[in-house]
Amino acid sequence: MDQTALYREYHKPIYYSCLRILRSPEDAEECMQDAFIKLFTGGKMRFINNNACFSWLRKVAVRGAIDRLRSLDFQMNVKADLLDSREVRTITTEDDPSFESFFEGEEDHPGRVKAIREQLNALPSGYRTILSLYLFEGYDFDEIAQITQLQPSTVRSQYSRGRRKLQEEIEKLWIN
Amino acid sequence: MDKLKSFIQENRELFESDPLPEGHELRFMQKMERRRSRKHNYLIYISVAALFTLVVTIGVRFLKEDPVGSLFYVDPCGGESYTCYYNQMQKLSEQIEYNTRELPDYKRQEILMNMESIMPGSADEFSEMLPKDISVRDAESLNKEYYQRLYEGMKELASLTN
Repeated sequence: MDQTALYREYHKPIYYSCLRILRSPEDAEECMQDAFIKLFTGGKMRFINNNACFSWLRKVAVRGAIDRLRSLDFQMNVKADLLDSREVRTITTEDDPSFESFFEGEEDHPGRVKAIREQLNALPSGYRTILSLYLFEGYDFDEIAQITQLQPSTVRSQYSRGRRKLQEEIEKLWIN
Repeated sequence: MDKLKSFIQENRELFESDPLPEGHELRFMQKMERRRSRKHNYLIYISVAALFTLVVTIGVRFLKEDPVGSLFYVDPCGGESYTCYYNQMQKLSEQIEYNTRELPDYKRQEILMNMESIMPGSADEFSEMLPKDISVRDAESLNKEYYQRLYEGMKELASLTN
């Protein structure tokens, strides 16, 4: 597959992965294109198959987005939760029973999607990143720890807090 | 079962419905082009630097004595008597002694000892060992072969001190 074809095939999912972390379309575009440039100019074109190529691209893009986010947070003097390593708490990835009502009924999927997106974007950057990597990209906690260079226990703890906060905000919004 | 995660995976296209910034592909192609031209420029710089180094190296060689001899081997005693090789060896021995004066003592001693073992005592050293009934022509030929080999060895030794 030539470079243009490869770009056209994968640019969308890579762009959205960056956008969920960075929120700014301009930053996400830069981040997505940087990953492709690394692929095309770094002699990485000898992948076994397209899946391996996509996985590599996505990981590079996500790492780039996190680096960019850390830099932006630093520039804006925002305390990046992602860099915190707080105490470990017992967590669960299961839903709070009260949150289950949010998914009841088949209609209004776009409304639910909108609520999740808005509340996810409103989370602090650290929580948002870890939730995005777990819920959207499908990475497990160990992989997220490797990507973010945090301890797996910290990733679990951050995920737990972020998830609770997200659910609370969605519930408030959805009930009202 | 994580309902939130399942919901996101099932409705992924709704989450990824925002249009991408307009002209992103064109901007990407321009970025790639800039990268390529930058790489091309590096190649030009490297080629120029390599050419410059080559020119300087050749220039330095030509500034030395006997530049042609250093590029193409020329026998200094071609067509001359064997004593010519002996005289050349004496010149080389002086050059070796001079060149080794800056070397560490042990290294200098090693080179000078080797030089002494190669350097014949006199120009007639080999002639004295030849049978008396040999013709003058054969004696000259054998002498020439003997001193030429010693001269080659001395040249090798001298090359270590340059």
